[in-house]
Amino acid sequence: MSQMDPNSESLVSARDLHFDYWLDLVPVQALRGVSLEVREAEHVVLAGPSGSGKSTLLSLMGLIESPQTGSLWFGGRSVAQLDERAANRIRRHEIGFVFQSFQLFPTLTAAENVEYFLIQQGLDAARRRERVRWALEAVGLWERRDHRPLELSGGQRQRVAIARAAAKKPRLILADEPTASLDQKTGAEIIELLENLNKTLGTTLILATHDPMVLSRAPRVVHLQDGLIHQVRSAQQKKERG
Amino acid sequence: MNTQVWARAFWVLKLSVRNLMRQPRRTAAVMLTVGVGSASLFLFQGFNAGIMNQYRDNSIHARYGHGQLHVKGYRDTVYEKPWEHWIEDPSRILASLRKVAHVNQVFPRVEFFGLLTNGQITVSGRGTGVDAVEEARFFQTLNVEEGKMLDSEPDGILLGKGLATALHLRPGDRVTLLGNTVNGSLNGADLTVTGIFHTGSKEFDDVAFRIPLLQAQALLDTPRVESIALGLDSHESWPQVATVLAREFPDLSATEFAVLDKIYYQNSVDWLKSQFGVIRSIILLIVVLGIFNIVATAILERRSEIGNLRANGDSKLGILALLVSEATLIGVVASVLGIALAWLINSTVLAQGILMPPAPGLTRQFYVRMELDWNMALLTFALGAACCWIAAVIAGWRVTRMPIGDALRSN
Repeated sequence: MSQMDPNSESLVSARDLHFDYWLDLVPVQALRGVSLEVREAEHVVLAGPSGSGKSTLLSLMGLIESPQTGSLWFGGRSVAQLDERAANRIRRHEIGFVFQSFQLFPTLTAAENVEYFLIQQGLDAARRRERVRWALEAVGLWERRDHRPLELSGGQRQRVAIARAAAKKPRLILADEPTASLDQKTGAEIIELLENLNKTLGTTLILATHDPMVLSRAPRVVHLQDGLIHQVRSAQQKKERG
Repeated sequence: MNTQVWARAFWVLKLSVRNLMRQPRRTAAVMLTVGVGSASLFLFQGFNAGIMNQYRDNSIHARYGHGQLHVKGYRDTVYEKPWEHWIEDPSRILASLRKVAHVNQVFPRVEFFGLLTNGQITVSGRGTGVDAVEEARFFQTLNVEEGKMLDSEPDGILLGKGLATALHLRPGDRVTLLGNTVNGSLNGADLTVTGIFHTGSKEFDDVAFRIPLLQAQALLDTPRVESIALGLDSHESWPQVATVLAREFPDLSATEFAVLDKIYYQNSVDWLKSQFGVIRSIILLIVVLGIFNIVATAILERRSEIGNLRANGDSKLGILALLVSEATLIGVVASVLGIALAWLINSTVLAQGILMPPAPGLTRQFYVRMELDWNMALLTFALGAACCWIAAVIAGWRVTRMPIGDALRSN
């Protein structure tokens, strides 16, 4: 197997991915041959009902899981060829995560939560401070930088999580159900923030969701069902269908 | 590079300290386990040391002092005429002994057999001639049931309980002591009973009596003494004193009390040490398992957070450092608090000590104080902290090896 992605325009390239896991002693076929190309600076939404495989696909593209069969390429590198250190390095520098449950450190302030992963990137204190300010201003929370997660609303916590992901200046942001814990208005604001990052910085954005509001705004929606890609709709196709 | 390492270390420490406050109940549970475990272990070690030291002191003050001097070879041989092998010129030796560093008191003694009669009944007995005034200040565990100690009565006699019963004697009564001089001729002394004692050993109390040393020497017609017991400033001085004695009194041999009292003291101590060793191992096992369990549980509860750290590129080693740093911090703080708690309990609730029944060879109950010292404290501290550390390494190693996806899906 070549180490170079045959489709070098793609940031993420998945070919015939399979992934099984065990859930309470029952084998689950989460992915049954998924192929997908995501280009640099693209905004893609993975949609589908619970258990359709969208979160698993997101995990594979974020190098959290390794494909069992099939091939996966990230930034032109074959994921199968990466050792643990190399995968860590990619996750540390090139991928930002936004989870449904925010995953913030409750004992750190908003600013400290954003700063923590910048330490891992090896940035000096001055650059870290600069990035933290930029990221928190981008999500409109600079004024609340000294608040801890418990002192923030759900929407504000998700903004901190986005700021944390954005501060890393990653090539790719993966967001798993980022609006699921939020009301519709706050959810729309969160999606707007993510879209801005995509538009202004060219950060590739892949979201997994079944929120209709998010789906309606997405330029490209990949529908998954039973571990297979059921349908791919672009903005153009959506427009044509009215 | 160094700056990065320091920045990382600073953040690990910062996060560790903050995480202690994150779930106060969980932190309190871990700290309680480690603290109470450390305190229990510390107190038990203190109790061990206390009971051993108290038993040793009781044994020393019961009969033999810290050790005894005899003529070389006297203890190992049975002589037809033992008095020929007693210590000559005891006054000079006693004077020299009193000058030896750490020797506070000297107790010259002779032992002999004699007949005691009240005019109607005659009973044989085994007598000890002692410096009564000096001995009364050191040997405080003799149980005088009636009357008083010999003190300075020149013609006094202290009778064992069985002997006094057999002769129908009470304090103030007169009794005649008959014995052989070292030359074989018969000699006698009229004495007044000052008191009646018991030691707990019926066989001994049925035959034993005590008279002043001068009276015994006059009866035996010898200026010699059989042995000289020593009272030191501390039992720890014995090796030093024994070295000096061996150098300055080459004709005499010095024997420590533990050897003289091997059957009662040394065997009891060895037996108790083995027993305490087993109990300590059990306590240690319970404490260690308790700490391991609670630290491991606290770490395993955080799988999702650990998954997040790993998803964002934190290395297994980096996460392990964080978990170990937190657990070590808890271990250090809780061990210190546990040790402080033990010290507080010891100086308040247990200030009097714990009343113990008479030990083997002794007749009196005695209070055992927990003898806590810095070495024990250090050992307990190290154990508490090390347990947390090891538990965190084991649990942390397990949890960081989990697939990231599984860790994130936890909780």
